[in-house]
Amino acid sequence: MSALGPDSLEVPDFAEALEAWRVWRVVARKEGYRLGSVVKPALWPTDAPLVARCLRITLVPSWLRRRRGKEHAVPLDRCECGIYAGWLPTVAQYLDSVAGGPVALVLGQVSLWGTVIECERGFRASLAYPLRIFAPVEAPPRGRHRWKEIVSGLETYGVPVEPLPAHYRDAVELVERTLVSGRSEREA
Amino acid sequence: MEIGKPKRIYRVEPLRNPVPSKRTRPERKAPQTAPAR
Repeated sequence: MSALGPDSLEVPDFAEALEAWRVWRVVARKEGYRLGSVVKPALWPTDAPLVARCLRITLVPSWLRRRRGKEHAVPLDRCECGIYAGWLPTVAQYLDSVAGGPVALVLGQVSLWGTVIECERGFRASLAYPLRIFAPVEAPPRGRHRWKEIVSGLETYGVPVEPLPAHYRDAVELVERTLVSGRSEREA
Repeated sequence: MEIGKPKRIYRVEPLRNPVPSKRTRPERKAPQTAPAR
């Protein structure tokens, strides 16, 4: 564990990726279904980690950022950049609706590594990849899209994609119940 | 995402790559179809 500050980043604190939760937009691309971030316009690659960039400074040309010394490591504690993931209850608010274009919404666990900032209810990381995806199949996808094809398409990420018999509003609660009952069974 | 204020910063270097390699990925049940428009 390190105190905040760049000087303390030389020795790894963890040799395993940290895990947290997030919601993704499902995006239909010509190559298939892909995960997209809900708040920012980031598309998650299928065979490599998503690498965080500071989107606050991308409107400034790179030569000007270098000249002004504005480029910084991502994430930075005093900025808002990084790949976000939170404790399970914090992601429920992002499962409200699919208004605005995505095919559907899914939730799941994500692996976080590189530089990771622990916050009060989650993390901001420099590198991330999905760990497990839950598809709330009782919420209708937009238009003519079907969950069967979406679930199959998201398997391209190489991680478990599990249909969850819930609408968006119930998805977090059902995941919590499923995880608790799974834990009890293992402990019994 | 509302995750609150920063508390600590960690350097995380997993020994095992969190990105599944092509070899270890489970075989897909069906070929991926292009999404309907």
